[in-house]
Amino acid sequence: MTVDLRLVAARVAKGDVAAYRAIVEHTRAPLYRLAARLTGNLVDAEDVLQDAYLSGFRALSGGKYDGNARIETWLYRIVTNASIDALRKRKVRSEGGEPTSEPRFDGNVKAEARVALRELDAMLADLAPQDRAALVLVSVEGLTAKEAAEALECTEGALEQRLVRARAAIRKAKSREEAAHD
Amino acid sequence: MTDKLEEKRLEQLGASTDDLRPDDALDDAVLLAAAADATRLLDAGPGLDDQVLAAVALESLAQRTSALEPSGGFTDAVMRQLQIEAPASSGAWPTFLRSGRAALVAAAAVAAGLVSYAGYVESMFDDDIMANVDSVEVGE
Repeated sequence: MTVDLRLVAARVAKGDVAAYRAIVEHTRAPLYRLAARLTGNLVDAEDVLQDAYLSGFRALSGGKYDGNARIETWLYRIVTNASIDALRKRKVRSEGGEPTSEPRFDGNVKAEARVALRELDAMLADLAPQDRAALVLVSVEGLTAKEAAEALECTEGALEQRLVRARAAIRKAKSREEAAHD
Repeated sequence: MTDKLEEKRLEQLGASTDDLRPDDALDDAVLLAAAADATRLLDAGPGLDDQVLAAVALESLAQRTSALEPSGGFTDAVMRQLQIEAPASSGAWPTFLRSGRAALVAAAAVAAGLVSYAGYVESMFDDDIMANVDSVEVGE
């Protein structure tokens, strides 16, 4: 059964806090995947998603959701931006030598997915957060250029530039790696 | 004379081959051959292999992470957090009071009400005191 989350959002806007659970339940799986793929880290993914849901709730309660976009698309954009912020913060944290904490909600994460996530994070480690997000949205999430540009709130031309930079950075990292092996 | 004969012979051959039509498969074969020829001339360019390999790797990683899902505890944690925030952000006040201007007008009205109520209470209190003073004076 499909649920029109816009109707649920209208109830939340009128003060029905409990109705927000339906939005979380319906969107948490794809948004968790998105946050995990963007950040490459389950701890950051959890934090990003929690913060994104709280931001979404505040925006709904404050009447900041105009109802034009689907709730899923709207939250997708919030999670993408929150993930980019998390990547920037993580960079600052790692430069400061702070340790990372263990995930709190990882009961459903299989070892295979965990390994894949680590590989993804390693592959994208050298990329700037915005370039990394562009590549993940298009090449991992499978969004079209138009959809990815909308999620990143940029033009398709800007998105293309980010993709070119991201792919070049991956190539460069691979060459460096190969040179180190030789 | 010989030329004329040969011309006639060619004409006859032309006429007899007028109905010749290519097999349907020939079109495809010609097009495929042309496409193969054209792509043979394409320069793959440095890094194209890497790019294709990276795309394949990303696609595979997408598949391997497709089962990622938070546990049920996640939703509860979010809702608990919301319940902490909710009184401040919603529910306690009607929706229209949560917009900036309406909230200001409402706050001003409440403040004005409190001030006038305080004034009323004070005047009642003064009247009581004066009545008591009068009765004291009469008593004396």
